[in-house]
Formats: sequence, C-alpha cells, structure tokens
Amino acid sequence: MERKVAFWLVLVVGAVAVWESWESFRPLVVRDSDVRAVSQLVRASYEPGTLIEVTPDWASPLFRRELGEFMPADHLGRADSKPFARITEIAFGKNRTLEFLGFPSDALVEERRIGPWFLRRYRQTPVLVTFDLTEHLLDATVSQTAEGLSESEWPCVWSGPLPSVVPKPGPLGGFVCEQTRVERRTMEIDYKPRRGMVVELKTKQRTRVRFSIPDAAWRGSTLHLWLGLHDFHQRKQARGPARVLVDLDDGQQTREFQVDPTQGFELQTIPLPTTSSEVHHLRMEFFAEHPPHHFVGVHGELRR
Amino acid sequence: MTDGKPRSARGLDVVFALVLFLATTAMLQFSSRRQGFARDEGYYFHAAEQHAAYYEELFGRVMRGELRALVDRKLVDRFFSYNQEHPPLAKTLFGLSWRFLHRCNCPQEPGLHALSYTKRHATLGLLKNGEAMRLPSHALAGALVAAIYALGRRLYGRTGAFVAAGLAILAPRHFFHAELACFDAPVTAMLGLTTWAYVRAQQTLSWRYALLTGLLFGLSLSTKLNAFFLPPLLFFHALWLRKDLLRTTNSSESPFFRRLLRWVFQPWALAMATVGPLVYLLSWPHLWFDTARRFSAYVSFHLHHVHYNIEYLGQNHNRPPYPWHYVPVMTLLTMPVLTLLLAKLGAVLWGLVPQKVELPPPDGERRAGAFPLLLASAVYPMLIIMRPGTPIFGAEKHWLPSVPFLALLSGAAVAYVVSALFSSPAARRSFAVAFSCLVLLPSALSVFRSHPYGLSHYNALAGGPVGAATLGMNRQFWGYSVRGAMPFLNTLPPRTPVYFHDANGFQLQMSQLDGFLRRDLPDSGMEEPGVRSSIAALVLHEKHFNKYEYWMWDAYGTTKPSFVLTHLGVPLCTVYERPKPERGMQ
Repeated sequence: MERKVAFWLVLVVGAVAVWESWESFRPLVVRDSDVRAVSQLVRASYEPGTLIEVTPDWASPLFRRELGEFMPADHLGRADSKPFARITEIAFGKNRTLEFLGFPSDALVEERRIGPWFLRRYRQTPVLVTFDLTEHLLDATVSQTAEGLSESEWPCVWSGPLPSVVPKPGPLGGFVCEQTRVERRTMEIDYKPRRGMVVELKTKQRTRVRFSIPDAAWRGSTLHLWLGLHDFHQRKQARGPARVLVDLDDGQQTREFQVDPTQGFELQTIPLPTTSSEVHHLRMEFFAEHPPHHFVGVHGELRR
Repeated sequence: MTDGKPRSARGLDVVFALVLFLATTAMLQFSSRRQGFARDEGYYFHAAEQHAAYYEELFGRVMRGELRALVDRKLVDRFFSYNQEHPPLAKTLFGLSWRFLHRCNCPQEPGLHALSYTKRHATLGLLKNGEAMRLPSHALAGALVAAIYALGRRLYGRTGAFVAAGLAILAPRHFFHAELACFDAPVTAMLGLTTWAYVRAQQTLSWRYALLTGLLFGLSLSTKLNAFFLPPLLFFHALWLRKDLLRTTNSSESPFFRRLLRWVFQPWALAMATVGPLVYLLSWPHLWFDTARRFSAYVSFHLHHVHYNIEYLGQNHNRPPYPWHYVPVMTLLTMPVLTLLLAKLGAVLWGLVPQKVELPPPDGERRAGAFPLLLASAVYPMLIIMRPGTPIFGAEKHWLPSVPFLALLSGAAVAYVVSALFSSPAARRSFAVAFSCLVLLPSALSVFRSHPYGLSHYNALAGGPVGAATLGMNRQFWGYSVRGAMPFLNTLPPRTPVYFHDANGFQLQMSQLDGFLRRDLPDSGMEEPGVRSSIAALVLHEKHFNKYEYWMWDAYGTTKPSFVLTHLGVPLCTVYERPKPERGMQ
C-alpha cells in the first residue's frame, strides 16, 4: 500500500516537474521579430488619421517604439474612438479592446494573425466633432472667484511656453491663477492616458473656464463632457468629491456634476439649448468642499 | 557512536552543510553581479559606509586607550542617525564587508560615497563596491541553506534535506532578494537560523542551544522588525510541546507553581528574553542613548508606515483594506509550482504518517514537535500579512520567511517517497539522486530564467511574466531594472541630463562607482520639473507610474520611445529622448 502511494506520488510529482521545467525552459516570450512583423504590416497600409490601439496596455511601448509617429498622445489619450473612421487593433492572443467589442460585425474589415498577435482593422462612420474644448483651451477665459462672491473675479493669465510640436526643455505653459493652475496635458485618470484640461482646486475659490463657441459648431450638437480626477497620488489623498457646474448660454441651461476620487473618466452628455445667437457661451465652474488634492480632469467635445 | 550516528556520518553532514553554505554564497555572489542595484539598497549602502566608519573610528580610539569613545554619544549620532528606521545588523555587515573587501579608489570618487575620503582604505581589494556590500546577504542565505540541510537531515534524512536546502534558495523571488544588500533575505535567514537553534534546544534540552537561540534571536531583531513576531510562535509551540513539564511524575513531586514556572520559563525562552534584547541593544548604538524615545520612534515609524502602491489583478492598491487573498494568490503565482505541491504533500504525509516521515531521534535527544512547528512557521508569516490593514506593497518579500519552511515540508515529501519506494539501499540511493535532480530542476530553471529580473517572475500557473502582465500583476518595484537600460544610457551624448524616475541617487551612485553608468550623465531632478528639463527620460513600468510616461509624452512631444527594456518580451523600463526640432518646426 505504502509503495503504491509512493509510486503514484512519484508519477504526479514527476509529471508536474516535467511540465514546469518545460514551461521554464521554453516560456511564453513576446518576440521582437513578431512585433516588427506586425508593425511593418501596419506601416505598409497606414492612412493618416488611423487610430492604432494596442491591447493589453503593457504591450503598448513595444509598438510605439516601432510606430510611435502614428500614435500621438491625443490618439492614445482619446476619450473614445467614435471620431475615428479607421481603427487598427493590435491584440496579443485573446485580448480584445473592450470598446471595439461593441462594434457591429461589419465594422471589422480585416483580421490577420502574426505569431501570437492579431491585427484587426475596423471601419466606422465617425461622429463629427464640431468643437473641441481641450483644443481651444488657449482661446478660453480662465478666472477665479471667491466662494460667495461670484461678482468679483480675478483673471488667470497664460504663463510659460505655448504648446508646440517639439516642446523645448522648461515648464509646461498654463493659465496661472493666484495659487493654482489650469493646464492642457495628457492626464492620468484611472491609470490611463486622457487628453484634456486639468483644473487644480483651491480652498474657498471657484475656478471658471469660459468658451465662446460659434453657432455653426453649436447648432445641432450635443455636449459630451468627460470628468475624472487626475493623478493617482492626489486621488489617494483627496477627500470627498469635486463639483463641476456647467452653464450654457448664460443660464439657459445649467447642470452640476460630482467628480468622485474613485471614478474613472466618466461621460456626461448634455443637449445644447437652441438659443439663436452668432456666438454661444459655455462656462464651467470647478469647486469642492475639501479642495486640496483635487485636480479635476475634463475633456469636452461638441458632437454631431 | 555519538547521537546515535557514527562520527564519520556526522562529519559528512557537516561537510555537506559547509559545501551548501559555500556553494550558495558563491552562486549568489556571482549571479548578483548582473543584478541591478535596488532603490532601498541605495539607502543601505549609504548607511553601511557610515556604520563601517563608526567601528573604524571607535576601534582606533579604543586602541589608543580612549575608552570613553565607547560611550561617546556624538560619535554614535554622527554615524547612526541616518536610516534609523531600520535596525543596524545587516547594514553594519554590509559596511564591514565593504570596508575590508572593496577595491578602493575612494579619494578619486568624490561625491559617490557617504563620506569623503582623503586617502585610500587599506583593504583586501577583492571585490567591487557593490559586490562587497552584498556579500553578507549571500553568506546569510548560505547559512540558511546549510541550517535547512542540518535540520532536514536530523528530521528525515539526507535526501529530503538536500532537496529542502535546494528548494529554499531556488525560489526565484527569494533568490532575487538574497542577492541584494537589503534586509528581507537576511531576516529570512536569521529567523530560519533562530528556529533551527530552537529546534536543537528542544531536541537536546541543552543550555548551549538555548543560549544560541537567544543570541540568534537578538541578531534577528537587529536585522529587521519581522523578528518581533517570532517569540509568540515559538512560545506557544514550546508550551504545547512541553506540556509534560506540568505533569507530576513518581520521581519528582514538585509543587504545581514550580512546574508551571519550568513550563513557562524554558531555557530557550529565558535566553530569548534576556540574551536577545541584550544583543539587540548592543548591536544598535543608536539605542544606547535616549533609548525609550528612540525605540518608540522606530516602532512608530513602522506602525504608521506609508502605504505604497502595488498592482494586483489589474488594480492599484495603496490603502487598506487590502484583499485577503493577495498573499495566497501571490504565493501561488510566484513560488515554483512543484515546491508548493511538495510542501502540501509533505504536510499531509507528515500529518498522517509521521512515523514514515520523521526519523527517530538519536540517543540522548527527544522529538521537538517539528511538524507543527514547520507548518506554523510556513503559514504564520503569511497570516500576518493577510490582515487587511497590513501594507502589501512589499509583495512576497514581507512573507519571505515562509519559504525555508515550505522547502522543509517539501523535503519531507521527498524523504517519504524515497524511503517508501525502495527497500534496497543501493536502489534507494540511485533513485534518491535521480528524483532529487528531477524535483530541483524546475526551480533551478525558473531561477535561471528569471534572472536578473526576479521581481518580474511569475510561475507557469500565471503564464510566466507575459501571462502575469496580462493578468495585471505588479512587474517590479525598487527601480532595479534601470540597470538593464544603462548600456543604452551610456550611448547618450556627454552631459545629457537624464530623468531617472524611480531610481534614486544612491543606487545610481553605486552604479557609477562600479562602472555600470557613466558619471557625466547628470540627474535632471525629480518629478515633473525633472522630466521637463531632461533630454532623456526613463519610466519604470508600474501601474501607478503611468503618469510619469504621460509627462514625458507632453514634455517631448512624442510617444515614441528610443529604447524599451524587456524581460521575456514584457516591457520593464522605457527610455525616451527629446526629439531635435527640425528647421522651421515650432
């Protein structure tokens, strides 16, 4: 009996030993040659404006090393993929980009396998972005008011270099308020890149960002607003939510949103009032009960 | 015959233990030469040089007859004020090893040492600075492996003991930590050694081993605070083991109170309660003055330790409550699978048929209740970290003291199989060699495969590092993988300001001292101003560090890295270079 038990134990242990040895001897490896082969295929058929998405996230640096010029920060930090007509997905094994799983079946125009990688090309009818708030941040008016004193307003002026294709060494430009800043940057919200504006909050102050939007962009569009808190370290220390008040056409419509430290980059859609005017106004006001460590990340688009 | 074994057999075991000690030490010393310096090592290097300087100055003054130096508070505070949140033993050993063994060129290395040196040290000149600093860790791991062999040999024989000794060090994460001049592997070794001495004290009932237990416990306390958790485990084990002391016997009808005292104050416990704290105090001059305040500051630091970040199953955790399953899942995915399987088998077999696993004690010795002790020692460090409020940022290093005991349980399974399968000694010997090699092979291969990125190691159950990255498991911490990017950084133009991210100044200094990184690459500074003023920048991939990469994209106007360091194809460290503006480009 004892020998029988020992015999079976040897078999089981031996089988596990052989399996684990083999797995250690020939482990799953992501080969550079496969990455280069996939990249060559993508490069060969690349059309400007194509969104390239790599999944899972950890593989992104490998493909940016090869295809970085086609993967700008505003693509990687997009709020969603709806404005893109052409999308290329590079996926490792069974991994899929969640957002693309919701595409209709005819959106997938090509699927190829190269080693462990799947290359999928999608086409879709893109939404029209008529006005991009982040893009127009430099045209905005930024100011601060003291809580309860909304009529007295202090301007926040742009300081530092203007955004450029190849920035020079030095600080990031931004609107500088008394002690806080409003900047355009690639934010980190929910550990993902998000292109948008960061509004740093201050005790007993409200920060206002005003946009003037031409009627051609306004009419027939819906405001898509994504909100979240930027920077994990600040989120960890932030107490309570931040608040964002959105005022459309000087009180025609107002909405208030709460931005919780635990939330991701959450979308709010707001229909625009149909006021007749050449220029429309969108004002956002940022504040919090406990402002320290609240860096509100926001990106907005008028979409049709 | 002594202890029931021929003297030659005992001698052979001593030789085997010595060989295991030397082989482990040498293996770690040579393999660690490819191992990048870790962030915390940087701090300990800095402290270690100061500890060595203290003992050098103290020795010099005492030799000159200045005995007051022994109680000179200014001297102590000058050299022990830095990094007082950790006890000194390991740092002192690192420092002394460095002091005697490094190839000294110190006067020509201004700014790279903790202290300034006007003349060269008289040393043996055998090792580079980092190699000398790390040697004590390697030797302690070697001592642990030898102790495991010795313990296993007594409990279940040579084959199981060899396997246990091998599996203890051939666990990729333990191997990684044992290469470093840090405290986690040393305290694992010290706790293992203390437990070995305790078992010997129980087996022999001798004061010699009891005193050794007290001494080793003191040294453990002086290595890392984990040691404070050991006494309750040993105490409850001893109370259970020696309940016979409470019973009356025909020969001695001592009063109950006396029996109770003998039961509670067993020799080893007395030694741990007296010799332990004394050794602890003596080894840490910082506590010689203002003792209560300084000790409470040390304890308070750890009670209120910052909760750093760790990625687990795709989530970044940096505040309690932590998932209770973090510890078992990480153990399941980072330890060699076969070691875990054997440990489980060993525990079951030892529990069910102890007489088939454990050898009878030699003449003059008694059983030490080894099985429950080993089982509890394997599980106890994990249970401490499984408390939802306990920080988990150190991953497996915080329950590393479990590993030797898991290995000892594994050895028991091997010992059982070998003894049960063959009755003929010759067949048994041949099978024992072959079977031992078979069970050690996967662990050895996984150590080989994981090196020098042990913190990125995940076993076959996780699908290796690639599978673990997809599962959203932490790939590294301590910034040690920057060493792999240094060959690339060394190709940058002279005086290129580099943002080094999580790699701290001290670890970079040691890399420069030992010739891995050029000295003319200045550190551009910390956080976003450092990124924005740099010409090259690196990011070490941990989930919470993503924002640093986004800073680089904005500062450089590109998302295209120049270099990606990978382990089995999984990115660990990515380096960006600021593009040069083309003519007419703004």
